[in-house]
Formats: sequence, structure tokens, C-alpha cells
Amino acid sequence: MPTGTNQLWWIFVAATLVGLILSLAFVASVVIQQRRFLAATRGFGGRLLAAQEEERAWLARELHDDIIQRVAMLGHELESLEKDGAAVPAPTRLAAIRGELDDLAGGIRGLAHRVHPAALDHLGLPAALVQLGSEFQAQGLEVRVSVATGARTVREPMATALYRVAQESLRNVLRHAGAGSADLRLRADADGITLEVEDGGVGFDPSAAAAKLGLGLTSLSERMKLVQGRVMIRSAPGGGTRVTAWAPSRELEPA
Amino acid sequence: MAAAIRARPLSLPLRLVVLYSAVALVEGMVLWYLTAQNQRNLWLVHAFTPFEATVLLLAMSRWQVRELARLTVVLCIPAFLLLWGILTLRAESLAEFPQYAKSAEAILLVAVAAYTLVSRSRSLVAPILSQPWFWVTSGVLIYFSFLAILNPVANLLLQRREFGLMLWVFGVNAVLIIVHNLFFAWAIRCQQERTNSGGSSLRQPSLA
Repeated sequence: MPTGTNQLWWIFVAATLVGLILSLAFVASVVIQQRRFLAATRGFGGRLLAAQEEERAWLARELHDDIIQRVAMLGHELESLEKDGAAVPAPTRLAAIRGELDDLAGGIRGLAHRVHPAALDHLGLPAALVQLGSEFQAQGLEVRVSVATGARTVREPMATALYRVAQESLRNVLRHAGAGSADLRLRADADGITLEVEDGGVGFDPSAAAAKLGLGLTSLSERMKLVQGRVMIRSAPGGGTRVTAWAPSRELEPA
Repeated sequence: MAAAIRARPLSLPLRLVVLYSAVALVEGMVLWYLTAQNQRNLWLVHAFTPFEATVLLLAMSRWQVRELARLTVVLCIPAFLLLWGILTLRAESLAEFPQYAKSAEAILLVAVAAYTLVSRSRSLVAPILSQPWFWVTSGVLIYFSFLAILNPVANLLLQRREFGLMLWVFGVNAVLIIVHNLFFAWAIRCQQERTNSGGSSLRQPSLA
């Protein structure tokens, strides 16, 4: 075999081997990536179903243990009024029934608000956030709300996504941060809209917690991804936590 | 493969793949016959190139997730046919292997197969190894990445009259042809199994 041909043969062998190895490596990397994606999707789907069941169980408990009991008590009250046979019931008893009905209406409104905040539909995101702050205030967490969106409103479904980020973040502050207060900020600029929830609580190590982020934070991240946005969490043990959700400015429209 | 084809109707991309394999088999037999008759046969390799590119690109265009990508792959067909015509008339010799057109075809098919593989796998929520498009695009990727260098090397060996080495080179080619046809057969088997088990759990439109 002449030297030139010999070299050509080895170049061919080397090129064939390199081509085959690269092709196989490419296919293998696609398979591995897709398997990881599939495992993550299945894990997330399972936790989502569990959370849905948990929410339904909570709703059933609230209805059964609170609302239905209060309706039953009102029924007894009305029955005893009927048995008394008085033509005109005593004003104090009527006032008590009216008060109980008002409480009941408040409880049902609270349930409806947790399932879907009506203020978001009727008053917009800034007002709904102020209302959310008041609700947490009533539970013992001081929430300082500041809104600077100018004359622009946030489109759906971005408004709901940001509202849920604020709700879940404040819930986490209340449950885990050990802080008495939190800041809730919403601002819009030329690039986009930003929502921040910051507390000065115990904080956590995000790198250690990343692998086992709870469904709450995972679902917030997924929710923001669906509307082309993103969620960032900054925290350090003893240094408080800041959750930032950002969405591009195309989600804003003039009021 | 024939039994599998009879069992269930195939999707359009897989029918195109079967058509490609059947015509490639006939081409191989004719090449062998012409060689046995001591006649020139490389013109057939030139003639087979546009058919091969058209059928495989058409099949892969049906597997695109995005409409723009599908349209781009379809538009690659006339663009390649034009390029093939120019190269065959201006740069190639019918007495030699089609080194420029075949390499251009191979690079185009590898690029489209790699894009199809990545774009479809990104949002797939079912096992990828049970998808017919995975096996077809992998087969195309593996075989045509080799084909990109086969014909230039074969031409050099032909010019140096190194027929012994050419036998080795085409031996490797034959092995890879068998491998990529096995991948295609497995793709058909995957579709048969999916049809029998009642479909797929793809998030994206199921075209396979």
C-alpha cells in the first residue's frame, strides 16, 4: 500500500470513528436529558395531584367543621323560635341570628377568596395585593405594601401568577420565617414588572434547599414560566429571604 | 418488517421511510447487477441522491413540532434539488462517486435529524425510546454522518485504483446501512406497539 493511501485509510478510519462516536454521544445525551425531564415532570405531576387533594380536603373540612355546623345551629335556633309560638320573636334573638348570618357570610367569602380572589377580577392586581396584605395583617403578620405601576394594569394570566407568588411567599413568611413583618412591593419599569416579597426572618440556604423545594415554590416557578416570567429566591441563614418574580413589559397595558 | 407493515396501517412519515428503504434495496440490487455485467453503475448513485433527500426530508418535515420548522424543512427540498442539479452538471462526473452533492445531502439530513431529535424530545412526556421518530432520526444521524465522508474517500481510492481498500470502506458502509435499516424497522415496531396499546401520551401533536 503506498504511503499516501495508507494515510488516507487511517484518516478515513479516524473520521468514521469520530463521526460515529459524536453521533452516538449526541443521541445518548438527548435520551438522558429527556429521561431527566420525564422524571421531573412525573415528580411534579404527582406532587401537584397531592396538593390538589390536600386543598380539596381542606375545603371539605372547612365546609363540614365550620360552615355546616353554623348553618345547623341557625336551623336549631329558628326551630326553637317556631316552637316558642310567639307571634313576634324577641329582638335580641333576631339580632343574634342576624349576627350569626353576617359571620357566616364572612366565612363563605373568605373561602371563596382563597379559591379565587375576586378582587383581582374586579379591582386589579394592586388592590388585590393591598387586600392580601390586610388578610395577613389579621393573622399577625405586618405587611407593608407598596405599588408603583403608574397608570398601567397587569394583564391576565400574569396578574393571577403574581398574586399567587405574593400569597405563597407571605404564607411562607408566616409559617417558616419567624418574622413579625414583611415588605410586599410591586413596580413596573420599561423592561417589565417586578414583584418582591422580603422578610428579615431566619432565612435558609437556597443551595441546600434547592433539591427539596416544596411544592409551593416549585409551582410558583412553573406558573411564572408559563407566562414567560421567572422567580428568583435570595436567602441566607439568619439573613432573611427575598422572593422576586419578574415578567416582561408586554404583560402590561395602559389603564 | 413486511409482517409489521401488514399488521397496521403506518403513519405517512413511516410509509415514506419504508418507501426509501425499498427503493434503496432495489438500487443496491441494480448496482450489484450492473457491476456483475461489468457495466458503469455510478450514474445510479447520482440519480438516487435527489430521491433519497426528498423522501427523508419529507418524512422528517412531518415530525416537526413547529409549523415554521416544518415549512423550512419542506423548502429545503427544492433548494437541495437545485443545488444537486448545479453540482451534478458543473462539478460532478457521472463516472465517479457524487462527492459534493452526496456530502451536501448528508450534512443537510444530519442537521435536520439532529434538530428534529432535540426539538421533539424537549417537551415529550413519554419514554423517548418508544417513539418511532426517535429511531428514524437516530438512524439518519448515524448513517449520514458517515456518508458525508464516504464518497470523497471512495473517489480518492478510485483515482488511486485501491480496490482492496474500497472493499473495506464499502464494507463499513454496508454495516451502517444494516444498522440504520434496523433502526427504521424498530421505529415501525414502536408504532405497532403504540397502536395496539391505544396511542401515546405526547403533549405535542402526535404525528408518528
